[in-house]
Amino acid sequence: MKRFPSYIIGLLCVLTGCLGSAAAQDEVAFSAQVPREVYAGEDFDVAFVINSQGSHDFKAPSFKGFDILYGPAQSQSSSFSFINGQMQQSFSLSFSYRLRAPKSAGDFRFEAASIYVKDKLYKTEPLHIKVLPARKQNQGQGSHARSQRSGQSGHDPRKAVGEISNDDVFIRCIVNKNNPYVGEEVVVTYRIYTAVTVKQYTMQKLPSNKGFWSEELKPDENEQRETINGRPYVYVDLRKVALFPQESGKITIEPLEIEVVAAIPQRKERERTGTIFDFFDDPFFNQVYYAQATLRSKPVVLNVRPLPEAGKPADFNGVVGDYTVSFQYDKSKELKANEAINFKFNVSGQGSLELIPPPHILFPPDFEVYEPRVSLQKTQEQHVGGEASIEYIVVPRNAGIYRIPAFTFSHFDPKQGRYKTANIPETVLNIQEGSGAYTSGGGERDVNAAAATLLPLQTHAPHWSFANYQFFLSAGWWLTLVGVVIAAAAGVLVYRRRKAVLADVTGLRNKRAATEARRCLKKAHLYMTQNKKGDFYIEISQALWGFLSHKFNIPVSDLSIAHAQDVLQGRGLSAEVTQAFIQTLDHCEFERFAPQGNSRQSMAALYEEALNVISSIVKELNA
Amino acid sequence: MKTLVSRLSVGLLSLLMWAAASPAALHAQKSELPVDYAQQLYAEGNLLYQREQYDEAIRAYEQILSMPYEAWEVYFNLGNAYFKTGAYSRAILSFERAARLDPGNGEIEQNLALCRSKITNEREALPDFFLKKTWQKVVYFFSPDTWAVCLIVLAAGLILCVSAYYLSSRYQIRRAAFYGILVLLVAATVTLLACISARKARFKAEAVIMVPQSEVKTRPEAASETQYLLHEGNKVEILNEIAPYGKIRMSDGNQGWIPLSDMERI
Repeated sequence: MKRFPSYIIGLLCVLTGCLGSAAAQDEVAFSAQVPREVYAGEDFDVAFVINSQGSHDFKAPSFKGFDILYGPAQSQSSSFSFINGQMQQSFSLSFSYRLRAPKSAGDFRFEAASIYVKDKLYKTEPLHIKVLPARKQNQGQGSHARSQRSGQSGHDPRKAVGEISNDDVFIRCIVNKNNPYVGEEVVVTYRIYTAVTVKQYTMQKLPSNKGFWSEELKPDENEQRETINGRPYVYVDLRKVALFPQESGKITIEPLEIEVVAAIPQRKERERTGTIFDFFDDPFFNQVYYAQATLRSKPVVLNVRPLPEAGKPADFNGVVGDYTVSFQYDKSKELKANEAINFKFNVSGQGSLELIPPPHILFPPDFEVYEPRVSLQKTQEQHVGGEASIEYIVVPRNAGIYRIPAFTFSHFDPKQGRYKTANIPETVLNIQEGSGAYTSGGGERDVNAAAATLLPLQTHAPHWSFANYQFFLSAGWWLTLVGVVIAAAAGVLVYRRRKAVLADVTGLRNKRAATEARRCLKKAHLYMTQNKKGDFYIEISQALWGFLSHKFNIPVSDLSIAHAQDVLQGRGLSAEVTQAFIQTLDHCEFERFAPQGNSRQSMAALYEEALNVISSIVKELNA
Repeated sequence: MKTLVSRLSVGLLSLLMWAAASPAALHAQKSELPVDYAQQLYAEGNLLYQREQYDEAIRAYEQILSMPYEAWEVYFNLGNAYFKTGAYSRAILSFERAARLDPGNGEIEQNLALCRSKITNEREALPDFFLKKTWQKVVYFFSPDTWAVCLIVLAAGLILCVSAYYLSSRYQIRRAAFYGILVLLVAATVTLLACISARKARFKAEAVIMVPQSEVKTRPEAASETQYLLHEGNKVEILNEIAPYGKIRMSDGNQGWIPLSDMERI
């Protein structure tokens, strides 16, 4: 053994130490710290401790039958230490609860608490708590007296045993009226009465005040004295609230709960021994014990009356309170178009000012009216009240005299139990011509354009058209266009043709020749029947010579029998027809100037001759 | 020959008369209700408006517009009635429709501007190019129908001048006709462009936002992100439609997609 070098032993020690600490590190311990026995109605602590980091999903037992006063509260601690060159690390995470045992004795078993560490489940032993009968019978029903730590006292709290009775400390809920109207203010005062010294108190639960609009009032913090049932008490107001019931019927004001720590003198715990130690039982030397208790005020039921239907004004919209109102604007300033005017509707008095809806004021339609702004100045001492100022900003757009019609503001005065209506008289505003356009701060609106007013209706008979009809490119338009173009073209064509025909005089005369001759012959026939010899021969001669002149375009001055013969032959007429024509002409001339024989017969013969010869020429020319 | 020309001209004349009277002829065919009834409703609406029964007046005017007739005066009065009831986006829609029928009407413009001052215009409109403004003034100088008639008259004049130029043998006439052709060609071109502009303006795809707020999306999908917010009463141009979304251009030139149900076409 001696041969072993000392450093090897040292090395071994270090190794085992390391292994040991490593093993300790691996070993997860999860334990419950639970008292085995508790007294009925007493408070006690329970803790679950795990020594490993990285735990999650802690699950506590249900603690059925016990009240959980608080918890789970997590706390963790870790420490490193080097002892003899060895590092020791410890870690602990605890979940602690404060429980209150049930009032009756018995055995209670709970399932184990569980926790996961790195996805591995750890469990404590199942819990077993034995509740012993209460150590002492409580005297007061409503107070749960129990020894309690007290920070201020230097005493060991665990030794302090005492109790507070209902008579020592209690709270009262004082209501200034029990049957208010809907919307009427009810002042609720929570007052603590005590015959012992209250060291401290904390409000456990504030009432929720369901069905009320509530406003805090300032409580009177001075201590006052009062004797109840011959016992002197000191009282102080803890809390003062103004409640405005929002519906009719029975509404309960929920109780206020506070926890007090009171100093109480020790009761006769010890027997007087008749020795010198009795001296210490003197109150002067009496030890003072601190006791904790939860106090609860009694719930108060209000019988809320609905507002009377009788005499309810038409414009009433639920305003309850004792108010005076005014409606005004800044009269010192000249009112100009496009400059903002501030109108203030002030309501002052007692009541819930927040609940006053802004009245609907009929500003002239030409005015631009912005959303009213409400500002409140509240006083909250004895009663809720103050002044609500409802501000309307309006911008007149044009100069002129405008009227804001009279309006009313109705409210219900619960003190007098009747409705009151304030009449706001008509306001006449004389708006002067303003300078330039108003530029609003919002900047969202195009105010330049807004200076205009709505133009009146169109009253003249409208010019009707079809829905979605436009003349351009419509069927009618195309037809008209084509029609006009064709008409113009046709006009041009007609004009052209007429001009050409007029220009062709020869052609026209040629066409006319036969007609003309026929006309003359007709006339001649008439004269023949009338036996007017002279006229008859003139007409026949006219017919023959005219026909010649028109048909062959010979000027009248050039007409002679010789010339006629040349022309007729030159036009390619046969010799017989030419001869016949010349003969007829000769015959006519002869008869005209040297009449002979039976004039009637010669006239008829000549007429036949002329008719035949003209028609034969026409025939030959057309052939 | 003579008789053929006269027959043709008689036929043309009757055709022309029919074309000129075609609106009236279509009236008789299209509508079951006579135009007198519309006139009567219009008078009734005006009376109700003057009695400040705006909702009833609106009903009367809307009834007219459910018939196949329209008139800018009806839209104007309808716009006034909507304005009085505070329905500014409806009023804007009506005034815009009135302006479509009678572009450049100062009264409509003024009431429209008043309505626009009542809504939230968050989009600054792009200023128009000055030539565009001048051209617009030219177009508004006549009503679209007058321009269309002018175009027909100018076309006829052009044909006459061309004929005179080619057919006349007299120098003075030909010269006058030549200058006439030049002037008429310019006038006809301007008139044709004015007609086209007026027609485009009349049937432009524009709409007014009818919901309090419309989200302008980057894509025509409900899930797509919202670029802008358009408020009620603003006018947009519809560029494209992929139901149920429409691609729109706002007055500031930005584009996006909004549901077609959020807007109503002018």
